[in-house]
Amino acid sequence: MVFSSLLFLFYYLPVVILGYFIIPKNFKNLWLLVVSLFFYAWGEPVFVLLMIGVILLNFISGLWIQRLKDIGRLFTARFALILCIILNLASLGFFKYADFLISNINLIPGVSIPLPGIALPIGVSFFTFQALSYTIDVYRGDVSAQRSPVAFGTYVALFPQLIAGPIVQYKTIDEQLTNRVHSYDKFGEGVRRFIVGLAKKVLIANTVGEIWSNISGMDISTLPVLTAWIGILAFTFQIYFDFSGYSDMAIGLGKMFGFEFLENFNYPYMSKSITEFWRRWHISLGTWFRDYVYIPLGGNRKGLPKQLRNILIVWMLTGIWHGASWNFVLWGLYFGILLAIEKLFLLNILKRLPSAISHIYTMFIVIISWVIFAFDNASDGFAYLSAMFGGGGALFDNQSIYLLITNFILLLIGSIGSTDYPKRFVESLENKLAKKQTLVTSGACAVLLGLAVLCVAYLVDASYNPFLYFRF
Amino acid sequence: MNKKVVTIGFLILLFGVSIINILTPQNSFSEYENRYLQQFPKLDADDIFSGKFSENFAAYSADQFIGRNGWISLKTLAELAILKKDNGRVYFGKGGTLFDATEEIDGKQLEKNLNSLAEYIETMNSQIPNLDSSVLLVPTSSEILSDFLPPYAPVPDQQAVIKKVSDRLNGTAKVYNPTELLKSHKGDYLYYRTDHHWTTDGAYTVYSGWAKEIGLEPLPKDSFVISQISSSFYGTLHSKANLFTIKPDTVNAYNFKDNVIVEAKFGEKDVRNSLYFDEYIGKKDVYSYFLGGNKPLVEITTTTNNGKTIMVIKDSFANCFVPFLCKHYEKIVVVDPRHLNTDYLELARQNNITDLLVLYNVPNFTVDRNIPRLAPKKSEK
Repeated sequence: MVFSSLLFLFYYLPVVILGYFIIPKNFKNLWLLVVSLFFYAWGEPVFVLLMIGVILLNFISGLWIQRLKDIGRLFTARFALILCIILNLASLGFFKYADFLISNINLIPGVSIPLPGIALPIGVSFFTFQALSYTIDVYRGDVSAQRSPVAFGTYVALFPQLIAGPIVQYKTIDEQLTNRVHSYDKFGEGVRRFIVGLAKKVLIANTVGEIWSNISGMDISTLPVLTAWIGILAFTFQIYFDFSGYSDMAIGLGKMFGFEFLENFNYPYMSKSITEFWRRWHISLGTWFRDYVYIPLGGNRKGLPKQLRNILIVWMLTGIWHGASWNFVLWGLYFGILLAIEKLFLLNILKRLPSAISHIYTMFIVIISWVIFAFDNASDGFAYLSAMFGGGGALFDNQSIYLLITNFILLLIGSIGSTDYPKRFVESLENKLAKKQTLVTSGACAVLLGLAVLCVAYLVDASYNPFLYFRF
Repeated sequence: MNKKVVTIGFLILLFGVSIINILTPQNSFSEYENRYLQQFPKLDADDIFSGKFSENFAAYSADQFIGRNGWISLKTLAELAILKKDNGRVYFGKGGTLFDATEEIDGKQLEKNLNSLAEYIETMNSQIPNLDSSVLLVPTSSEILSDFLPPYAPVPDQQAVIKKVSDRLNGTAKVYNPTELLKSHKGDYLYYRTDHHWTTDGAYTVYSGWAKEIGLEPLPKDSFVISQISSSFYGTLHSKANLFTIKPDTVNAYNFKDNVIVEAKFGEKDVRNSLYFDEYIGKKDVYSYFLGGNKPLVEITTTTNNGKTIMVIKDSFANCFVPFLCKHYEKIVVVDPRHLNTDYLELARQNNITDLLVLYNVPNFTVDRNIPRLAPKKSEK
């Protein structure tokens, strides 16, 4: 199930909220676990068993490791942790990467292993990483093992962050699992956050997504420069508003049920270097790799050569985490190399340049990276890159002008919406009107209602499917 | 901001809409979309485990959403407000004129269609002496009413198609290009604003030009009684737009002052004395008033006693055009290759045809995959 559907909004969510607030405190987690499993099983009726398996594996490992540590058998605890990591990664590897691995092995002459053809369980990379963070933290002693399978299951399966993150680290919500506050303030803030996220996804990401799928479906070899840039700009906005909108919705839903998740995006398109970009983009993934890969490898404490090696390893893994395909590896390496270059000298130069120039540099690098990201076939990706720089022949044609005129406002909304200006504007307005709370509240309600109504209109329209048998 | 007010407002809306949706009776059919809507899916173990149940339920939640058409109009209005000029299905042109945004020219299919047609007419020419063949490809509104299109809207080049057909059939058949004639009348009501067809006036205009071209004397307009059969026609483009602010079209029919139809046979059991189907007046699909929509084979006998028989190979653009032929031919055989898979040479011989007219709109001539049905079977060449 996805949040941006009428099914979720008007069937699932009311039942979940109603149940949650009438059920006694001790059973609220159980309710969340049950409805989260249902949420997952809705689209993946079979793979819900995999998720339950991952929950049980890490729950039992956590208890076992804790016990071994308590009785001082540290070496065996280490063995238990490694076993648990291997099992987690093996299941992730099997479900996500088996086809990719085998098809690459098959490139060796004479080898021809039939592909298992495994369908990718939704969210498997997210919930596996969440569960892993728990077991590692138990081993490290950062948290003590969760003794309630319901609380732990709720942590892994919690529907707001189940499918597309943020990757919540156990230590950040350990307390909240058993003891959290519900209030109108939190719920109302959650509503605001959820509707803003929904609008980002439905009104912006989906509509610019249509521009991108339209343009990327054209003949790339003759694409005019202007069309190619409109297309990749559309994709640039699509991926940001889709992903950050989803995170907003997750954070908002979490608040409704009393949880406080950490932020996942911090206006990444305002960054002035790639180093900064990755501190603002998909923060929970970056933090995960920092805490569980980069620092254990030695981080920056073992000299520059090792640090550069660690950066490249982390970014290759970050790339492949996004999907089982070489373009994601390339995408990760591309960022790894740029981050290494920035670390070596570029960052110092960027700091001294006017901020407009370092901003343009960053967005240019990021936009190029989305070309690599968008095409899982490298030759299509390179053809598209070439079109962006004139390989298609023309600078523009009638169609480019039409696309520009009819999408200009949408792209403008995307540009403004990916900065923090709207947020600062609203905050300053609220400060100015601090004494007129009625006005602020009715204004906020009107805006939120307007956004919600538009979202519903867009969602209903998405199912509009005229069947015109009398066509000609 | 008072979070309590936001919370309560949100909950009222969420539960309100949800309860209203559940309590409202289901609709079974959407006239706008011309399809059956998803009903509440049956609980079935196989469907649940295959994921089919959840798919159907998602479709149900959208199809049965309260005020469905109003929401869709609202979305369209929002898009028009940010200067969008199409919804992927139609262009929103000036003065409430809609254009098909999915029109395309399929070069490869055109090649196949053109070869089949050329081969067909060449074979006929060799077998039927003095056969008069003409090909009439009618541009759609995006070509003629380009002033009404949104600026720079990409539309296919229809003239290139007509030129290609004309070059290929040179010496085989007369190819009449009505573009200039239509453009000189573009102030008239030539095309429906909400449908992809031409109006009967558009068809009449082209009829008079075509008739002159092939050496007939076109009937003057005042020899017809023109009657309005609908002033509330919402066509296919309106279905694709689904915007309530658009005004409907009017539909006219041209009637002869005397009775010219002896018999019009639309099927084994459907024999009439008119080319017009009154039962479509007041229906959504008013255009089917003409010839009853797309019938595979229509055989018309007229009171015109001149021994001439014309076969019309056509798409739906011909439906309101065919009536104009009645005073020029004793027999008219109308065939639609999309619905009739037969030996077209044999059909022509059986009917002793003296004339042949191929009438399509330009984009359709390049995308229709059934035109190769015309090609003579190998043994007959």
